[in-house]
Amino acid sequence: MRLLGNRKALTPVVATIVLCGVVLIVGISVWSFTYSVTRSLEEEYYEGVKRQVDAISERFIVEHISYDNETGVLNVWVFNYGRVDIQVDVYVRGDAEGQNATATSISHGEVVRISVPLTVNVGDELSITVISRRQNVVYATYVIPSS
Amino acid sequence: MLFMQLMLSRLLKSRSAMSTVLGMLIFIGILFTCVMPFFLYLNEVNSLYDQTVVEMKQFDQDRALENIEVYAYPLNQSSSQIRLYIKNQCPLTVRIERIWINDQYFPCDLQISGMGENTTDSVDIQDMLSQVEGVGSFQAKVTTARGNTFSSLTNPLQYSNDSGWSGGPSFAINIVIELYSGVYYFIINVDNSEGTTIYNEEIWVVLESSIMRNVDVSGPDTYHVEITQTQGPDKTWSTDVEITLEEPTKWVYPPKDYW
Repeated sequence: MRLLGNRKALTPVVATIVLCGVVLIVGISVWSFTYSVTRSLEEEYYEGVKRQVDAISERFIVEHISYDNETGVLNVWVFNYGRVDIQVDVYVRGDAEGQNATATSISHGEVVRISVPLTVNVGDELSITVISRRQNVVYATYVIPSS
Repeated sequence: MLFMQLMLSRLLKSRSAMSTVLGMLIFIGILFTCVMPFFLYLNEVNSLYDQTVVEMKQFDQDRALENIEVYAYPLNQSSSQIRLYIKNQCPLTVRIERIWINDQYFPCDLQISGMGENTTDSVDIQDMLSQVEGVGSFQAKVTTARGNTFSSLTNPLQYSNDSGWSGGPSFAINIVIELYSGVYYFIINVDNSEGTTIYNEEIWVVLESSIMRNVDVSGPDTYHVEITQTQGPDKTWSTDVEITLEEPTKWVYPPKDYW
């Protein structure tokens, strides 16, 4: 009651409370901002590293190639023996050119046949490039057999 | 205690000192709840990356070490069934995922322990044989779970409707013994024309329906193949095999009922 009656005594107390309040509000705001920024940076960094981990975990081979004379289609069997699912495009260059760039999905541990429409002659030499959407590349060659 | 009281009374007298302390506490709070966990998290994610790199290097190394010998063989002279005898030449366990016969594949799940051997189940290629006109050529290979493919050392197998199976690229005698399920003990002996033993092996066969052995020979000659079964009453089957330049590989099929 004595304090409330004395304005000179009350002012420093109020000023201290106001100053501390301001410091707390500003401090909590800074903490909140920093917290959300670091969380966001963490997520971004993790996503970036995860992309790299997936890229280095990719393993696939061209397991088999055959040409179907009746349908005029080059069949390329791609085996995903890595740890992650992949999407691949197949490009054929050499004596004949063609491609299948439909991002064929291949689950890990699976083999998938990818067809490339192609007009070729017996003895044509083909270079087959299989490119994953994570930019890993596998090459194979094939010579069109006589029958 | 007196010191603490003195400090507290001094602090309460100075408004800016109070705010400084609060500000400092908040700063330390930010340091411990945001910045330090952030760097610890980055470190953990980097460790995950490093671990994956090491694991994939190991994976590639294992893949490079994989080494198997594959021998595809028809069960008998006119059979539509093909089996693959596989010898693992590396210390790692190898899992066979698929068997390829020409452009057709057959799923397979066969494990072969390090330096061991095993035979796949029969693969029926009647559909392919029915399309053969004259002589048909068959290429067999297997794919492993580590992404390697190994071609059969007996490629190309040749089939004709008249004489059945033949073929093979090297000077060799391929001995195929088809069996009824049971326990057998075989002694396989191959001598050349001079009487020198070029191959001798003793084999226990337990609950297998066939076995195959590839005997590499030095060149054209007449070889004497003798197969003795000693489990139960002794039985010996023998034949002479002529290897020529025209037909460097010969297939030997003792009759299934003989044993």
